[in-house]
Amino acid sequence: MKPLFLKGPSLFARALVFGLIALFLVVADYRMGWTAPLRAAMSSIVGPLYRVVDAPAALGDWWDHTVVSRDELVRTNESLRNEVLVLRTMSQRLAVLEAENAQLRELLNSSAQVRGRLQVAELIAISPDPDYHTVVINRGSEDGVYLGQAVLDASGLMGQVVEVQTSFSRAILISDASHAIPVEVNRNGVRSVLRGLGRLDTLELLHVPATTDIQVGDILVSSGLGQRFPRGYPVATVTSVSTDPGRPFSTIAAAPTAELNRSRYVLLLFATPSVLQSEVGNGDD
Amino acid sequence: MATIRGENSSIYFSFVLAFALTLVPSSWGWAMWMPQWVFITSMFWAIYFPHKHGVGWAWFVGLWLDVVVGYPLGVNAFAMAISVALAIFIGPRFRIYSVWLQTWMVFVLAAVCQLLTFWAKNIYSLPNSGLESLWAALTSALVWPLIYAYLRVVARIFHLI
Repeated sequence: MKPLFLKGPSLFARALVFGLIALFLVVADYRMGWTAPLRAAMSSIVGPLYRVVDAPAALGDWWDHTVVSRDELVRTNESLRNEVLVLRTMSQRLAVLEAENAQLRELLNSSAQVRGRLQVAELIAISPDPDYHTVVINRGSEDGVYLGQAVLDASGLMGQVVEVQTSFSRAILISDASHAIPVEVNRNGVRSVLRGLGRLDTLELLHVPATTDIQVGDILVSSGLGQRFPRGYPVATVTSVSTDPGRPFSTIAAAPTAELNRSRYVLLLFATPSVLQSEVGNGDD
Repeated sequence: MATIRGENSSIYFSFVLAFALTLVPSSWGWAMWMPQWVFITSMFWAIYFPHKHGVGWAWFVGLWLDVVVGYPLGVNAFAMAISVALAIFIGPRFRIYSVWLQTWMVFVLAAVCQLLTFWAKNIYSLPNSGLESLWAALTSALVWPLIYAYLRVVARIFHLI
């Protein structure tokens, strides 16, 4: 039998109670971080859902990999081989430079820079909220992912890990409106903070005095200040500089170098805190 | 009335599908237009089967949505609980409306849900694009006739009606 009347407290009393519990939860979660165990428990069930929804895309990938003509394979192989050759030659030079750099640093009494280990991860979901530039990647705490870890793609820095669960983790992109990253201009070392605007193609440099030497085309690299991101990874390219004499700061826009909405494979950078520390220690020399 | 074992499973199934649809990858340019699948599903059950899916369930489903989307827990739970309460309140009238009038009402309810989410996010200064979020309410209303038809079939298969 369907009951004719809803029993218990009135509808809006219940809505009010549940609404208040929800608002309390938001505070408990966002400000205090009390609800981490609850989120972890619920996430263990949500994890497989991400994979199921991603399955068609993964299947498409598999299909693309499996059904390839021999000619195409030969061609890709050849071009890849050439690329490896070129890169290897370049990295030979890099090895020499790195050794020299370490030597010079030793002379300056500062510790050598250590390169972090990289791990490939796959993007399995992106946030359905256009205001929230977060992505879900298929590596979690069981793969050693940690909070604040830098996420890169082949062409630049993408963002950082903000939530780690057992089998997946969530990363916020540098384009998110609540994200900012300390950067420096590759050309002259001018330091600033690069803020996301909630748009994938534009970032903004904060508080740059009108007289600062920044030009269109300058490459902004992570400065390592803030001890979150390792130093020296490309983040964005300056696309426009406009200086209004009436304003104290110039308005500088930059485009991220990483392909924020294209990369399906991303790289997780494992840098130990000591690495970050030592880099920051030498940040301003 | 004959009850079969999987009576509630139709509700669970429809929500799993709604969550899956929410997660279907799209670029952020399109995400703005994605209907609020979970909200309309919740609204359907609340309007047609208020004894099965009430404010508490809507709250619970909203909590799951928070986990899936990665919001602070409670943002969607808050919005869903209140807007679904509103849906239950207008339910008896809603049920006798024509589909077109229903579509319009869905727009209003979905917009209320979006605005409450907007408000809850604003309290904690999370990023927000403001009135642009109403586009999602519009598409939610536009898919309503389809959702309505589909969930009626689901409800019938599982002998809910």
